[in-house]
Amino acid sequence: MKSYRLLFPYFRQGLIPLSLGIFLLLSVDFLQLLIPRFIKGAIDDLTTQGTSDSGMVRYLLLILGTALVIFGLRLVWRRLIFGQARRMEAALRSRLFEHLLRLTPSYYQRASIGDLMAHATNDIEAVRMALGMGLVSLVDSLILGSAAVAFMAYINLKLTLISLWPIPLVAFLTQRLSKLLHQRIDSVQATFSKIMEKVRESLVGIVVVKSYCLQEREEDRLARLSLQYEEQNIRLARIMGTLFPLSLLMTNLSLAVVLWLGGRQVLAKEITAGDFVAFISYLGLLSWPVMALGWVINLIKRGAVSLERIERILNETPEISDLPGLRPSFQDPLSLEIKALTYSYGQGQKPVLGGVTMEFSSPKHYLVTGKTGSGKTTLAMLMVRLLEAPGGSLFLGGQEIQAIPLARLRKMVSLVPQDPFLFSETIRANLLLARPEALEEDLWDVLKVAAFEEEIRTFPQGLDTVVGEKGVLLSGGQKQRLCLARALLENPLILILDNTLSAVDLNTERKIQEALTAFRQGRTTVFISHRLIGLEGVETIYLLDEGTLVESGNHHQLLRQRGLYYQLYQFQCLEMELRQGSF
Amino acid sequence: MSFGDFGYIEGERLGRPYDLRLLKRLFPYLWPWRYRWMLGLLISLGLTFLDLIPPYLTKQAIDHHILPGELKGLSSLALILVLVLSLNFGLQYIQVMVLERLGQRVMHTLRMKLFAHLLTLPLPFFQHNPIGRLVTRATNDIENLNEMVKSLLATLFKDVFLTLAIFGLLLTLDFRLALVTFTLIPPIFISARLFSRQARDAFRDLRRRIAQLNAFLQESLAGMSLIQILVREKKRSDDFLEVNHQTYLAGMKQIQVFALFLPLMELISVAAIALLIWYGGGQVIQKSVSLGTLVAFLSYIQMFFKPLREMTEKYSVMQSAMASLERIFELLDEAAEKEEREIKPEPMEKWAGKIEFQNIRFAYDSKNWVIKDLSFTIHPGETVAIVGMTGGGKSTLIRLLEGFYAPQQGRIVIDGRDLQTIPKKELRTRIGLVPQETFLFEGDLQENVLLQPSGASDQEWKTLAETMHLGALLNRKEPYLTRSLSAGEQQLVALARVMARDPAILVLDEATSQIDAYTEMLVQDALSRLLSGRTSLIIAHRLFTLRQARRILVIHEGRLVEDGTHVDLMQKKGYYYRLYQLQFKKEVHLQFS
Repeated sequence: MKSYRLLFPYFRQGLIPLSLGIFLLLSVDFLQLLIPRFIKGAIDDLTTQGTSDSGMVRYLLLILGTALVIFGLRLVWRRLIFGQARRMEAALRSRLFEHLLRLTPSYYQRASIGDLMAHATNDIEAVRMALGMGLVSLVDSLILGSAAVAFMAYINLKLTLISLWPIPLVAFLTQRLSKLLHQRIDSVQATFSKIMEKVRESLVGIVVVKSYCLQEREEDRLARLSLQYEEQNIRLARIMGTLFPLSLLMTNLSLAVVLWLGGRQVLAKEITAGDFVAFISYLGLLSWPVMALGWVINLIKRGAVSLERIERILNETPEISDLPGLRPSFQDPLSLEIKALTYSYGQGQKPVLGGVTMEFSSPKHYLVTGKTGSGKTTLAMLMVRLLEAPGGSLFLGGQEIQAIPLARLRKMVSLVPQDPFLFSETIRANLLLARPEALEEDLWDVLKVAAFEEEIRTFPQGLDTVVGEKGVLLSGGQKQRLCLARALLENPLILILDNTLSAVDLNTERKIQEALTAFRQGRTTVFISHRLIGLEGVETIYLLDEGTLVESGNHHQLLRQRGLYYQLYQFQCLEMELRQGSF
Repeated sequence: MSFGDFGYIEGERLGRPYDLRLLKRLFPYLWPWRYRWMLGLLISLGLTFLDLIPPYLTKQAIDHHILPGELKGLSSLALILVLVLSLNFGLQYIQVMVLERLGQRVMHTLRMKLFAHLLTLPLPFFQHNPIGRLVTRATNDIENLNEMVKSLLATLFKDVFLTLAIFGLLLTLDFRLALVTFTLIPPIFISARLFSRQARDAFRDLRRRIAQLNAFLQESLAGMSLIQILVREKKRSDDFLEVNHQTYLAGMKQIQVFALFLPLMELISVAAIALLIWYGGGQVIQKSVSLGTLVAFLSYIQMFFKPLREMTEKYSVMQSAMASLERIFELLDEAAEKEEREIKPEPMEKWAGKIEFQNIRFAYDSKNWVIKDLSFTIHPGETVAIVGMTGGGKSTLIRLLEGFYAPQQGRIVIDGRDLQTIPKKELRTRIGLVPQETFLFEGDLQENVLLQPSGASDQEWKTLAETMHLGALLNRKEPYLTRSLSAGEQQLVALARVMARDPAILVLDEATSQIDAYTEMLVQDALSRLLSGRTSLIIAHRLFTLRQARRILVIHEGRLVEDGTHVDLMQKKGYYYRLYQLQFKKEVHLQFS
């Protein structure tokens, strides 16, 4: 229940409409009690002699009038209270998303997207239900319930106290059940998340699923989760199935007590027979709110569990964020320095990078190379602070990068990741992401550098071609070139290209390299690649091996060293020679 | 920028609501559980009956014990009451369990059916439908049915039954009073009809928005690092706010519809009472109706409206569920990837692996030809490289070969069988594809490589992992291992997948683009063994990864421009020669000069 504190700020914002709504709800409850009185009045009049038709018209008008007022009030409170619930739902969802935007790749490596989607829809809906229906039913049942009890106490206190003895018992049982309820709701929601992720995973990997005929395997996996979900829901229903009838049982047990004890009281002349009948009818009035209470508990519990789940995400502190009051001053020329950088993905894990020292001073071209898994991509992510390097190991313009506001850092140093990511929008929209104010000719300019211009001109919709989710409508090489063009539109001082042209043929790559050199004049470009051929022209080459910097220098220097670079280069050339011979 | 649908057009406006048609389609999913359903109905009738007993017992207590002052027997009455209540409690519990199981069973069946169907949909479908939306259908929308299946069957029927019974009762009590009361029935029906349309629209909109929300989320979360690199958090958050706000507005629309509808139904029920008092009261005064009848009428009319009120409340659940059901069936109606022709099931035979492309023409949109009149033959056991510029149609060839798309013209023939007569399953089992983009499942390495339960022993698996240079990863036991693999390591996993199988035809689409030359050499032997004796197609932009190929097909703008061995093509001094010159000559000279 504590988790509801998450909503306090929203309650405060919606205080006026919410309290007005509750006030109107209470008024409706009160007015509803009037109608039976009018009916009673009419019947009483009919039993007395000399009543006229006009008297009946009066009752007609009274009842209709009250009903109309109730109608009007209902119209308003439903909008007020349910509207507030919807508003809080939207606000909470936005807050969740804002938070997700601040979490780093290290979080997304642990979290699953389907699970987060479930939080933003299923869980937040549960919160809304608690706030809307839950709140209304709670108020309704408390008011009606206590009114009924008050009437009963007014007739006879002793009988009331004795007849209501099952209340503490039920309260106790409910309390015990409620803990179980909590656990079981939690496991149901968690499995729902897993189902969402499983469906998502299978669809994202549909090409692999189809080409390896894995349909049955995927169905089996989902079926396992789906059946687990079913069983968990059944287990939850066991509690609900006890909780609901239990509350009803309580009021009815009270009836048995009243029959047995009240009957004696009538005979002992402690209460009148009329009192006795009235008492029983009030007890009947009590049964609805008590039953509703079971439902309310369910709704509110669900909301609480979901809020807890949401809170767990909100409590993830972004590993990387700005310290307050950053005012960096940069030295010219801007250079990126890496000093004795050691990095591992988790405590106790083997470092991916060990004591790496490098310098990228502008304006030059660099190549960071090494074998598969040598730490190249990790290094790139550290340079733009997608991963957090230990303090004192990365400097931009003489300034520790932790002292530079993130947004500013990433404007100056940008990365094209090796997995080209495009949004399912148009080519234009994907490009403009990097610089929304760019002009049409800017777009064509960068597309030209990325050797993509001519192809796009042949597309029937040109720049307005929709690329599909993750750019599925484009080939691998097209996606990479579009991502490159996007980064060029931003044209940062330091641009890191992580294997960006791996799916582009060498001929095109050469064209791109040439255009890129001209376009990036006066700026620094860092190529990350395991291919050496074609990149001999860069000024400085850094060679990583198993996370350490083993060699650095330009192509000719490195060849002369006859070290690993020489071997790798030799190897790549030899491959070609061999092949040439073998044909 | 048009942004509302993220470049997708949400399924066309559906036709008019066809509740009955939808329910009819749901029926087959309910039918297997008919006994359970009837049990639920029986229990709810039993409960209704049990509900009537306590008032009767109370009446007995008053008339026979309390008023006459007869204490004897009062205790046993109280005891009977307790017994009835216990029975009631037990039945209610059973009722909840029966219905919950029913709802869950139906949801499970429908979810599995939908999921299985999704997996059979053709590839182009996924290019036009955001995954987030499809996920919503299989999860949130299915979930939305639970309440309807549960309450619709057991309680709605009870309510209808009760309403009809009281209807008849009122008519027998007093014909005129009943007719006066019934004048309110047309307004009820008219408003219900009117609102059903609006409610359905509101719920449809809401379901659509939720799907959109999920699509947006799925995409944003998948591209989170890009958003952060480009510092577009603000923009993305603004866009989300917009989608979120649309969802909010859709929700508000639904609230407004029901904020009018439900109170209106209440108003009509009170109006019925007022009408009775006025007209009935007049009749009582004129002595044409007894007071007792009027009082009975008044209490019955409330009983009459109670189930009606409950039905209208369930109406909202119904309408919401119908909106979901509509979407689910809409997806189920999507044509599955089908065999192109009627195929007689034949036992799978060993394939020799001869591939013939005969005059193939293909365009994704039937306008822009990607493949233009392409013909070639690959002989069994041959290793062939396909070379050409980016976007020249190489990957398209593979999609055609895998049967993901069908050519508009020409045929592909494998071992003398037209590709369209080969069952998709057989085709894809016999062709081992390593696609351009690597996809790893959640789970450990072994699962990811073997994919299906296989007869491979642990030792065999370890050997395979070692050959594929994955041995070092075997010792890493961290969770989410597959997510922390480098791009090169992922490709090694993808290659290991085909190694673990025994395909007749091997297709490598840029399968080593992320693997450095050194590591590639380490897995070279394994790759060579894999290629030998199998028909293999290798696509690579880097010519040196093609060294295994004895024959090279050069494809340019969807046409086969050259075909031959490396030496042939070099001597021919044509397209390949120029391509080769451009790519290598310089560097090789540079290195040896």
